[in-house]
Amino acid sequence: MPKLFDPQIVWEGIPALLPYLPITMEIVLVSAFFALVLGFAIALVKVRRVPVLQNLATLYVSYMRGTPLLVQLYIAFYGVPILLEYMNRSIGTHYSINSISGMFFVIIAFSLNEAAYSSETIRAALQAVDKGQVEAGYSIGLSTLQVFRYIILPESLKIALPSLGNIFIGLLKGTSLAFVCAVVEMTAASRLIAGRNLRFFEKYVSLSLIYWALSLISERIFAFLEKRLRKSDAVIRKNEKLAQAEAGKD
Amino acid sequence: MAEKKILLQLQHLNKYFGKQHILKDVDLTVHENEVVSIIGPSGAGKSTLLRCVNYLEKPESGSYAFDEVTFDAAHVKKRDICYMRQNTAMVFQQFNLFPHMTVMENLLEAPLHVKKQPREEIQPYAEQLLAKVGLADRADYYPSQLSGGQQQRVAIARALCMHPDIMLFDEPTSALDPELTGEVLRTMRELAAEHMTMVVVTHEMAFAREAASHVMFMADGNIVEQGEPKAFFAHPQEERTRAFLQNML
Ligand SMILES: Nc1ncnc2c1ncn2[C@@H]1O[C@H](COP(=O)(O)OP(=O)(O)OP(=O)(O)O)[C@@H](O)[C@H]1O
Ligand SMILES: [Mg+2]
Repeated sequence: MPKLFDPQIVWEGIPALLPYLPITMEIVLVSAFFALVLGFAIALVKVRRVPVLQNLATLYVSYMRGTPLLVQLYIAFYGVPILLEYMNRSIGTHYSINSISGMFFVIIAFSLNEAAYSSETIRAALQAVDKGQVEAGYSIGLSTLQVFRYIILPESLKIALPSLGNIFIGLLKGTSLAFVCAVVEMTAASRLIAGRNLRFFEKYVSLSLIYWALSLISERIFAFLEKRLRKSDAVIRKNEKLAQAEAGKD
Repeated sequence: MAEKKILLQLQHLNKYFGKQHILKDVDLTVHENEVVSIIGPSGAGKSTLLRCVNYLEKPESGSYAFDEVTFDAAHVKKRDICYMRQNTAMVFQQFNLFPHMTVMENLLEAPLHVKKQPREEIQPYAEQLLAKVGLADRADYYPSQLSGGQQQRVAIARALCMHPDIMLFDEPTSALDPELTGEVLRTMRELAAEHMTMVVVTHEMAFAREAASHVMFMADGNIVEQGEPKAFFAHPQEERTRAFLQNML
């Protein structure tokens, strides 16, 4: 009789999944990039109160945050082909719908979804920068663009980074839904492989360990970036410790 | 004594916030090497006037003449605003140092990015300025590691690093604990003694009386009275000035 649970199989099952890791990472990194760009644009529209666009942005963020990611993936999977077909018919383009890979839908859905979340984080961070420093920047002759680049950006990045890190890890875990668009990433691969020997439980445990490791690595990377950005605070903490040590000596 | 050269002249300045008329046809004349002190009750428009000088506020109308450049506020161009900002420097009540930069980086920011000077050319001058405000050993500190008085002195050094023709101070000691105002006022007096042209909005009557060469009293968006400090404080002509000075003492 086979064992109920075989840790051996869990360990040995990990290498079989690793070939699918690049697909997962491709979804994560490409979507994170587009999400950041779009999220930043949305944040600017909101901070600058661009008429009309501002209202559209609010509607967009509300919809994206108020509907399940899984449903959004389905909508991308079925909706994007309809959109392309519509374009083919109405403006005479010649997109071949059948040749579009599932990856395309997945990346569209994840980018749009994460953009909505990151835009709120970025907006809050931009607005958290003290107005006095912005004025100080203008008063020494910096242009609007320079004030943005040298003052608002570094300070708001410092504020936004922890939340962006959480969003990134959320995205990483969210990629496990990509199978609905027929993309075989790690989760879909687990199901296919386990279907052959019927050790579903062990396979999913192996899978979970990989996700866990990836999350931990991402956390580390973000913590490192944060530390780099918070160089100023780090120096302060060090000096405070020194001061405390000195005080303790007396 | 020869008449001193006029460095900055603003005339018929009008500024509105919404429907509120904040500056009512105000004139401001600053001669070279002069220290102009602006005093007056809260809400008089002192900060607004000062901020109009380097265009942190945009007046609706008025004429600007600064050195050889003249322009009209109603048709101000980007170039004019740049010109005003690059040749004047502002010291704020709340210091407004850039918190993510060290003291030295705060000083170098404008020369590096606005004037595009090479670092090795300006760093010695920045060090000299830090020494002048008594903070030579704090170049690598971050603003949050400094006391309020030290931060304000860094802000003064940062302003000087642009080689401004005029320094603007908006209540530079109001956010400081009383025991820290002295060090900042001392730095300002030194600047005045070196003939730096300055416009100082202040509640420090002693500074206005002793360090200024010209005092202006503002109330309700008007210049009520102005003059040479000795006469101004000894014999104020206007009833509002007298009431204000009485309150301050
Ligand atoms: N950004 C703004 N929006 C609307 N009203 C403003 C703004 N800034 C200043 N005001 C108003 O303009 C008037 C003048 O303000 P200002 O700050 O110039 O006065 P002040 O003389 O500097 O006063 P204080 O001594 O309190 O600093 C006040 O009534 C103030 O409420
Ligand atoms: Mg004021």
